[in-house]
Amino acid sequence: MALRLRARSLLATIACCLAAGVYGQAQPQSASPSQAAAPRPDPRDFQGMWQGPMGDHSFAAGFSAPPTSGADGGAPVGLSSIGGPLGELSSALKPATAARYQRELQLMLKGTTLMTWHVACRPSMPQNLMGDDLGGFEVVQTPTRVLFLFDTDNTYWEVYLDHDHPKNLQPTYLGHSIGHWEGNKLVIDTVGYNGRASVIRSALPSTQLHTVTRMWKEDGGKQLKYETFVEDPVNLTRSGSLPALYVQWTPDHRIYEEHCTQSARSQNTAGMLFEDFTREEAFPYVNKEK
Amino acid sequence: MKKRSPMLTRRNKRAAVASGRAALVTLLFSVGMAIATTGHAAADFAGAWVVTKYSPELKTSDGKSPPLLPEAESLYGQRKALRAKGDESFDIVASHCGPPGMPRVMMLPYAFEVVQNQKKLVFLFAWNRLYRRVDIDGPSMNADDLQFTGRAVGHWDGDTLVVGTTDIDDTLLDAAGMPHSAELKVTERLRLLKDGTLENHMRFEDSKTFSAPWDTVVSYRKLPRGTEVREDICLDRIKTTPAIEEKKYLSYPK
Repeated sequence: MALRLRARSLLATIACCLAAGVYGQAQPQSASPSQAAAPRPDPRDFQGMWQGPMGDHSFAAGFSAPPTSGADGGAPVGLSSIGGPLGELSSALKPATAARYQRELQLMLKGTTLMTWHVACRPSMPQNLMGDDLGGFEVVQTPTRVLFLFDTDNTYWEVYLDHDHPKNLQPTYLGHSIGHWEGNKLVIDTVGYNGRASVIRSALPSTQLHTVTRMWKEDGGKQLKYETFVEDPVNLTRSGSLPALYVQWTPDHRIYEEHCTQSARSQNTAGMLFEDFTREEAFPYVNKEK
Repeated sequence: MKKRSPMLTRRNKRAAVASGRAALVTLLFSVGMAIATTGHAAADFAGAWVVTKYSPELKTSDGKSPPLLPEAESLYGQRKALRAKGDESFDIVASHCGPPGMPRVMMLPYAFEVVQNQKKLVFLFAWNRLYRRVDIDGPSMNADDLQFTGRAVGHWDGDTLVVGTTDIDDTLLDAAGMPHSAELKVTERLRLLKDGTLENHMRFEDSKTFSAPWDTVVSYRKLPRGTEVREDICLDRIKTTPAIEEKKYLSYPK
């Protein structure tokens, strides 16, 4: 179920974005009743529950009305877990990445999902999970850590405030994140990606990915905005920033664990296209499923 | 001996005073932050930990089998027999890298980090990048239906953190397949021992599964200062290694 939902969300996201013509920055939504409670006044205190604006995922799952276009004609979608709008970076894709991007869209239009490591229940990029409007996340802070605790996959993003990137860093899905404050903006520097996840939609595997995510509160603390600067010589001709996005302060949100591995079965992948890796690599238990 | 410039002396004094003030402010700030973020009664569990031993079969604190009711005992026996033959299909963790849930996640032979402040205590697990959160002195912020890690609320009893967890989804209590019902309540009493060990005294209450409440104790050793808990993605290695590598806890640095 989780796997299907993940794939369905992916399809809905791309279809929605195609219909809107271009990817755009999410627009503020009207406040829910939950916004009545006062957010934390300290601009450096991000603690609490946050959720992406209602968009494609909730629409895909039947939880909300179909999304409408944003003021700029873009799609006011909650961001998909496979990657959000590219903004200025859409013109910086290297030919191979741009071709892959187009191919993925065409496959989607035909109703075929290209299997990605994300769909295969591997960890997702936190910058993408933050915009997931089906799930939410909680921020927990201490003087030395900032934690992002996600509904999706019951997974976390840990940002160290008290030390640098280690030497001889072993690559991981989410890389290694360190943070510091510039005024009231939290600046998160991440390196050490293993190449199986990216903030760039349709990216080719790249261990040279380097992201710098700036995060700050706005609207009296009811919005948490974030903007990610990306360097990736494998996929981009130049570095640049993804559009600034936001999540909404949702104090009445409750964490609901969603585990992709809970019910993922290789037979649920019927109709999905395996190009980058085999079905058995995606689901190594494929030969002993009962 | 060269005479000091009065200006330099004054500047040094000013610098010393300023430095002293800064140090005082820093100290007060640190103390304030410590109080604000750990609570005056809290013990400091922050750091990286790993179990001191691992067993695929859960036992009581005196090494006996838990008091399972007949139906649960029968099911457990069937599963143990299957497991002895190499069939772990009954276990979503072993077969599909699925979520272990509570309390099994607290007994995995993999490292985890504790991050805590006044209102939250979070366990960040290496295994599949899972986490478990405890709301301290407040309502659970987890959804009010069954969750794999349940709904955990804690409070400080002196230097012991008492955590009550309910609403635990349909998971197995151990790798051998010990069942439980939706009525399971796990009460943990976490405290630091004098030797630096973190002790987790667990009480299990589930009248649909057990004939009486029972206890077990899990101990964790602290990993060297600065140890970072690195993700261990089960699906990336399950083809060649078991989902739960029983001796993994022995591989962490002393």
